[in-house]
Amino acid sequence: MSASGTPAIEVRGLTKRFGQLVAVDAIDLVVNRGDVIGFLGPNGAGKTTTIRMLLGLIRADAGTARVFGQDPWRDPVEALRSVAGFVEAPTFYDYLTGRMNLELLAGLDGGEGRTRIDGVLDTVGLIGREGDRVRGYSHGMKQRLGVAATLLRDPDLVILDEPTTGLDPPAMRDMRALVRRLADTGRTVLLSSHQMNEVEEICSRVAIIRNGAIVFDGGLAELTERGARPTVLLSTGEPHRATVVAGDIDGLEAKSGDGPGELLLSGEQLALDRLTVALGREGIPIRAFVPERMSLERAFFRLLDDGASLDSAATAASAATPERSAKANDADEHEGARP
Amino acid sequence: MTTYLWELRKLRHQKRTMLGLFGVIAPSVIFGIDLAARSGTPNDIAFGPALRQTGLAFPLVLLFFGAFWLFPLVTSLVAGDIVASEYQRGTLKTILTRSVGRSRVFWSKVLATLTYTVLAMIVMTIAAVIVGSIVSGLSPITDLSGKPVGVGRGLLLVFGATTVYLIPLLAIAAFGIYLSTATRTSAAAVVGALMLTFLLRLIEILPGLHGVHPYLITTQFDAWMGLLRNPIDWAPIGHAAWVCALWILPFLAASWWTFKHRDVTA
Ligand SMILES: Nc1ncnc2c1ncn2[C@@H]1O[C@H](COP(=O)(O)OP(=O)(O)OP(=O)(O)O)[C@@H](O)[C@H]1O
Ligand SMILES: [Mg+2]
Repeated sequence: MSASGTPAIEVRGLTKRFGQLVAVDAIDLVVNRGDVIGFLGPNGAGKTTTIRMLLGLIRADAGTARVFGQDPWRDPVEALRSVAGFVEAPTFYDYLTGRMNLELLAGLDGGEGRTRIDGVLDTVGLIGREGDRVRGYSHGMKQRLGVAATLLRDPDLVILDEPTTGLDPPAMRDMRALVRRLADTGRTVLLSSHQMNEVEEICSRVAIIRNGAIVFDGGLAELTERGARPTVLLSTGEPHRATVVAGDIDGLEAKSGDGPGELLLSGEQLALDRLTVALGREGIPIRAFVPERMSLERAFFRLLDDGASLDSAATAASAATPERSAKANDADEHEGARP
Repeated sequence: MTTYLWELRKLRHQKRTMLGLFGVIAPSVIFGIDLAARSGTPNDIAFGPALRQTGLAFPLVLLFFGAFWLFPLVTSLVAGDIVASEYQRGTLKTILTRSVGRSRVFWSKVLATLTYTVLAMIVMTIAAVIVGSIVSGLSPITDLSGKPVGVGRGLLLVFGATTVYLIPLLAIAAFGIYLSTATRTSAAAVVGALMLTFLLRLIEILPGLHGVHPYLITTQFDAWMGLLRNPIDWAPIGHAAWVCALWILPFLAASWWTFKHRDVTA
C-alpha cells in the first residue's frame, strides 16, 4: 500500500506517439486524493490515450505516470490495486453471462469481490438479466455491467471514460448519481466526458486537453468565471427604453438576450448598481435581474476556439462575455442562472 | 491458478472447443461405420489390417490419419484463437486492469491450450477404443515387430502412443499461440498453424531437402511407433522430444515477449 500523502495520479511530461502522430504531448497532471476531476477535450484530443497509460495498458514514450506512487506500466497489479474503471466502452466475454463475467473478474482480483456481486448487480439495475449471455446485452446494459465491474473492487480511484455515452436519459441520470455518490464517499474520480452538464454537476475540477496538450487545469469555477466581467440577465417589460438607459451609463455594455424583453448587460458591479437605480427612476419595470454565469460548455468552446493557452482563453472571456457565436447558442441551453 | 481455471471455463463455454472435441470423436465413428459397411481393411498403413481383429488398432490408425491435418487443426482451433480472441473482443483491457499481470494471463493461456490438447487426444483415444471394441472386440494386437501384445499392455501402449504423439502436437499448438499473439487475428492464426503443417509435410516429401527431415515437427508424428516395437525403441521418442522443444521454446518465448510488451489499444 502506498503512503497516504502521495497523489492518486501524478503525471509528468507524459508523451505517447502513434507513428508520426503525437497523441499525448508531454502533459503534466496531478490529481490529489479526493479530487473529482473532469477530463475534457474534443474527439482525438488524447483523453483515452492518457487513461490507457494510467491503467498500464500502453507504454508511454516519454515522461512518467504514477498511480498512488506506483508505475502502472511496470507493475500494473500493484499500481492498480485500489483503482477501477474502464477505458472506452467496457468489454466482456460475450459467450459468458453477465454474472459469470463478474465472477471471473472477482476471481482475478483474488476473490474478495465475489460477495459483492449481487449488490453491484442491484446497484446498476441488472438484476433479472445477470443470467443472460453478454452477447444479448444492449449497449447500455454493457455499460452498466462495466460500472458493476468497477464497483466490485471498492476502489479508491475511479477512472471512467465517457461512462454515459449511449445511455438513455434515466440511465444517464442514474449513472451520474452513482458517480456523484462515489465522489461523495471520498473516492477520487477521473471522469472523461463530452457531456458538459455532467461534468458541471459532478466535478469540482476540470482538465482540458486539446491536441495532446493540457490547455486548462483548475477549478470549475475558475474556468467559468475567470476574467469575465460580471454579466446579468435583465428581463423587463420595456427593453428598448432599458437599452437607452443602459447606454447612458459608463462602462456598461448591453445586448439583447434570447427571449423577448431580455437584455444581457455586462460591466463592473458599480455600473450594474447604477443601472438598477436608473431603471427604477425611469419607471422601467424589472421582472428579473440575475447574474449570468458562463456555462462550462461555453467556456470550453471559447478555450478551444480562441487558442491553446489559458491566458488567451481568459482574455477572450473577458473581452466579450455575452457575445453569441453560433456555437455558443446551443451552449446557452445549459446555463443555469435563468429564473 | 484462478486465472488458469478461468481460462478453462472460458474454453468450456466456447463453441470451438466443442467443435474440436467433435473433430476427435467423429473419425472413430466414421471408421466404425466404414468397416461395418464393407469387407477388407485398409492395408497400406500400419495396424490397418488389425482393424478387424481388435479395437486397440483403432486409435493407432487414427493417430496415423490424423497427423496429416485433422489433429493439428483441432489443436490450432483453440491455440490460434486463445490470445487473438482477447484482442479481437477487446477484453484484454478488462482483465489486465484487475489484479493479474500479463505474464500470468499469458502462461495461463498456454497451460489451458495444453490442457485442451491433451484432453482432446485422450478423448480421441477413448472414443476410438470404445468404437473399435464395439466393431472388432477387444483382443490382443500384433506389434510392429510381429509379436503379440496382450490387451492390458496393449491399452497401456495405446495411451503411451497418444502421449508421444502429443509432443509434436504441442509444437503445433505453440506455433498457433505465437501466430495468435502476433497476428491478433483468430482466423489467420488457426489457418496459419495448419499451413505450417502442410508446408512441413511438403518438405517431408521432397527428397532434395532430406537433410532437414529429422528436424521437422511433422516428422515427429511417427515417433510413437517406437513404443509398438519389441523391445521398445526409445530413440525416435527422445529425438522427437528435443526437436519439438527446440520449436516450442522460441515460439512461446516470442509470444510471451510480444504479449507482455505490446500496447493494448483495442
Ligand atoms: N492505436 C492507435 N493507433 C494509432 N493512433 C491512435 C491509436 N489510438 C489513438 N490514436 C490517435 O491518438 C489520438 C488521441 O486519441 P484518443 O483516443 O486518446 O482521443 P480521445 O480524446 O479519447 O477522443 P474521443 O473523445 O474521440 O474519445 C487520435 O488522433 C487517435 O487517432
Ligand atoms: Mg476516447
